[in-house]
Amino acid sequence: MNLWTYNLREIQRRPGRTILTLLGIALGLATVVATRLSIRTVDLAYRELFEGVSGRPALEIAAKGQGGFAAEAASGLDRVAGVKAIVPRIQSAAALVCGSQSVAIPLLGLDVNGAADWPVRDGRALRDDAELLLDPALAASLHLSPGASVEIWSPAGSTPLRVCGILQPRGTSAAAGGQGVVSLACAQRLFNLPQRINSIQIRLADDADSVAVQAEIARLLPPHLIVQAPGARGELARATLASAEQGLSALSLVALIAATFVILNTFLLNLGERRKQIAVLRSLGASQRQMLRLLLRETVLLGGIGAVVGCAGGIGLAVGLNYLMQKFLGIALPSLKLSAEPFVLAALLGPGAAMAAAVVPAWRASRRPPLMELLPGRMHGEEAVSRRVWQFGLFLLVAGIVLEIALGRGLFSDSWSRNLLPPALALLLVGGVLALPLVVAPLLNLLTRLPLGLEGGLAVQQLARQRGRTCLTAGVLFLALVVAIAFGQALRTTLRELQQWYRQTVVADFLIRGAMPDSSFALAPALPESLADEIRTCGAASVECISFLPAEVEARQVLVLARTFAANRPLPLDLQDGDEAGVRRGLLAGEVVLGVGLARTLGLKRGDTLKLTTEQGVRELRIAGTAVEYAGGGLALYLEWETARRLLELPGVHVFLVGKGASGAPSPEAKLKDFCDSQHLLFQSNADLRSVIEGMLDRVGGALWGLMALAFAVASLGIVNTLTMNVHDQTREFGVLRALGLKRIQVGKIVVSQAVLLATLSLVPGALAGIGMAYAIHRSSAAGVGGSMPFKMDFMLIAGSCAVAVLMAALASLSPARQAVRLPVTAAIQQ
Amino acid sequence: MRSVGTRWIGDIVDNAVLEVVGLTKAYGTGATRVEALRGIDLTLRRGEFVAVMGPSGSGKSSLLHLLAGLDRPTAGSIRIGGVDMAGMSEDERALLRRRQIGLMFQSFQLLDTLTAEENVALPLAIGGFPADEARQRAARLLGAVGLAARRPHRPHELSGGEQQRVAIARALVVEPLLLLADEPTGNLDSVQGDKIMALLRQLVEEHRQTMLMVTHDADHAARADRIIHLRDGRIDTNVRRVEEREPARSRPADVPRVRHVVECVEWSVEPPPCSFNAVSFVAPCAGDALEHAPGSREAA
Ligand SMILES: Nc1ncnc2c1ncn2[C@@H]1O[C@H](COP(=O)(O)OP(=O)(O)O)[C@@H](O)[C@H]1O
Ligand SMILES: [Mg+2]
Repeated sequence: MNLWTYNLREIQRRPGRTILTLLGIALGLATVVATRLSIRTVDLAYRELFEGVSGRPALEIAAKGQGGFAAEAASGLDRVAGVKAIVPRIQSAAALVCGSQSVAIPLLGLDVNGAADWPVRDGRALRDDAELLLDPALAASLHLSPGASVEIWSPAGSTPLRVCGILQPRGTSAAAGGQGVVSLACAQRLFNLPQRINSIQIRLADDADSVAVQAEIARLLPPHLIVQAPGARGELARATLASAEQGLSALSLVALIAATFVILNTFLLNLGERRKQIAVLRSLGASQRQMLRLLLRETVLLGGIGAVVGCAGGIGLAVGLNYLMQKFLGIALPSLKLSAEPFVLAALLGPGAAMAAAVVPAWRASRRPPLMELLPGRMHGEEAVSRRVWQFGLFLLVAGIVLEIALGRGLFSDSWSRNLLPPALALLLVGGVLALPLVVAPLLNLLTRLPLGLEGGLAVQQLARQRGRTCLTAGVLFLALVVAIAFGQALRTTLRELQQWYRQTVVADFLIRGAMPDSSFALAPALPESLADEIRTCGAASVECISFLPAEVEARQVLVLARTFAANRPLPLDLQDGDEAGVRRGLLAGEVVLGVGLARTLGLKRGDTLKLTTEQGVRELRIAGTAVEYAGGGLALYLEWETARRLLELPGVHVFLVGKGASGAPSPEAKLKDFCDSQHLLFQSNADLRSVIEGMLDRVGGALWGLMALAFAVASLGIVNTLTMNVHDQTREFGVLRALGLKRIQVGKIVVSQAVLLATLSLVPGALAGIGMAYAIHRSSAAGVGGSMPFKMDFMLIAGSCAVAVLMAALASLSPARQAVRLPVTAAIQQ
Repeated sequence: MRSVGTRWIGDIVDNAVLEVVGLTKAYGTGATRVEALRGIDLTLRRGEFVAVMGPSGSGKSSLLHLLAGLDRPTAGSIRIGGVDMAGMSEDERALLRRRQIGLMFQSFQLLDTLTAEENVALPLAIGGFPADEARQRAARLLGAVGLAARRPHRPHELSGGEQQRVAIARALVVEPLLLLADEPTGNLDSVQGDKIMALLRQLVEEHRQTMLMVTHDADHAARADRIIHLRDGRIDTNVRRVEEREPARSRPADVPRVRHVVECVEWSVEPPPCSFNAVSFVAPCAGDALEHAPGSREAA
């Protein structure tokens, strides 16, 4: 026997409570791990995608608009000190068609010396211009082996290629599972870049000073070319993720805080039950320090186990999330990459959260004089909530509010605001729960004055007697309410906005493209513009072209949405500033429409001018209006097709938007579908797409509602705990009451009333804090992407959340109530 | 300097396991102040078994708790094994309990998640003993109190008497200098109580265990070498000698005859600084029954 036996027995004694604690920790950590994993995966994937050759010091030369340029631009650069080799290449996206599948892949065109870096595992190296090397992961997922024939859709149209070899695994594969490699000549043909390239890779000597080399090369380059770290291209893709990342981080933070309070609640109950034990151990000679360690290591152990379970759950959650996104959104996401960081984080946070919750109560319990518990017949009420607790809570709350106001006033830079939002939310939540006794105490007093009947009165008495326990349980419910209201509101607003934006902007009846792009449009395969005519011959009333291309605005990477605007159709923009006719005129005259997020980031509005970097240098464009736009993380702008052709190098068409014409005319759908099938193009009717997107939105919404229900479920488990303790404490009281003639059902009513009253206590502060937090989230997201909608609280949501809170509490009380009802009277009295 | 007489006392003091001088304990302040102990002087020598009696509220438990270092005295000194407890920190007291003191309670205070054997091994575990050795010693002690077969049982599976025997084993497992017991038979019926007393007596006989026991039961007190009566926080000198009050009754056969007789009669004449105020003499071989029941004093 050593003292761990004691710890383990204690953990085993209350399996329900142990599971609850574990569940709380695991749930919190699973969201953290899943979030970090997803973010890391996408981040890594993009970096690799753009860095091409990983792990080598390299620089890249590209055109500012990322169009093509002559290979001679690189001449003379190999004489710069520190440059080891110069590899001209073409790097773009294409649709790989294989059977009925078509996927967007990054395609790399290399000349023969460059191809030496891409060793072949199966088959052989590139020999002619009709051959393709494939990444092993990609080849495996498409069941392709050397000798197979595939088709590539590119701006040059459809080109048959033969897979001549499978590349060596590169340890790290790019986004979407891998890339294809073709000869430079082949790439020039595919992407309409005769005699040209769009990228030069510069390999550096191992001891080269890359900053100095970069500066020297920049001096030698013509003005429309830049030299940069290869990862710089991924900037836009990463910006797209930033806002999603922020939302996810906030959610996982809240989950973690809730978990910590669940641990605190159960730990306090545990301590309450074990006071006598602690006293016995102390009287047997356990020192205070020993006692503290003994108590803490139990929770830390649970925290550790919770971390392990949370890690597993997090992987599952991330895989599920990935799968759902791929399946329902149709966008290509990289397969999950496991990195150590999220797990290290979980391993620290699990025991850390447990420790944070347990250290103060454990310290106090270890110092309590053992005599207090050992004297026979001494009844101890739970001590009142220490003044210091709510004072500390108030302090945190005020700090949170101050920080929040500072954020609202825009006192911090963009990136600081992003990083400071989660801590501000954390301060508000933790402060709110700790300061809750300030509100609960007067509410309890109020309740004692209300005519609640015999059972209600007794219930209030018990709640007041166990004030600390009551406050903490109300605190857990409070958190659940805040989460439900604040995130529910944010979710509903976002979904509504997305829907509105989508209905406004995607007005075509059918969409035709090479393959679905990835989430950031970094991998959108382009099609030849000439396809438009063929589509028209299928009976389409209108065909519009859209293209997504990266560009540079005032040293910032943005997404340009270049498209045609048919004269006979409503303007497909969710305009925030500007009238339709004026904006249309402006666009046709070469003006731009800015995404709201970009306008806000640049501090520009309608009528201002925008500096766009083009092939011919920096051009000033007038801003015709602003519109809500989610693409490119909101850092997007619209150009009319011909303007874009003039200023930037259009790679081709990413999506054809097809209209079917007057309602009386026969629908061209069947003909279009046949055409697309024969050409291996991706055909979607708007109805299909809409149902896919709306179905996806529903599912995302459903998943989030599910998460919130889980928050309530965890809170209810807290209530079960508290009420079980209360019943335990009141055993004798119930026995006496029964002996005096109280009916069984009345005893049950007392317990259920306690639960309902507990929930009621949390309603007002929970709803108020929820609204406040919803507002904070609204404002911060408005600063990011779209957010054209005014803040309008959804009162049905509040009422619904409150009703759910009370209902869950009542349900949670059923089991303890049954326990109370079944108490044998005589045994209860003798206790 | 000390007189000749005190030097003689000094010899005893060197031999003493417990020395208490002028022990005072007051709870609360102002109007609610209660003086539970008002100047107790007491010495226990090695192998001595002393019973403390007195009406409810007379300060018996307070005395025991002070001796166990569970509480701090208002005034006075306590030396255990020659070490003064006055300057000790909370943790040093804990260490003292861990190594020198065995504690027994009226309500046993076993941990219900642990088996009998684990309960007994608990003080060793707290002291950081190797698990195996702790287990073996616990098993040996449980055997000694006649519970070898009950080792894997949880407290709630044991009778009250068995639980108290487990508690005895737990108190003894560290081989304490001093065993303190607060009404160890208070929660037991008379048969069980007698068995526990027999066991305690046997300990004193066979292992020269020093023991201070609080009890309400005169029969049980009579098994001690010496009885101290407390009244209103003081040692009551007015209790007449037992032998004078009551003829000896026959003892249970399983208890060996006791020949410890305390020979401190001189001190009661003029108490030296480190001695008892009053001593009731008991000839344990002579009899057990004191006529005054616990309640009768309170009524008086
Ligand atoms: N922790 C305490 N606080 C206040 N008064 C106490 C405390 N413990 C004991 N007392 C009081 O001290 C007196 C002696 O109590 P106690 O030592 O328990 O007596 P006994 O064990 O002889 O019944 C009683 O009047 C009791 O009320
Ligand atoms: Mg007592």
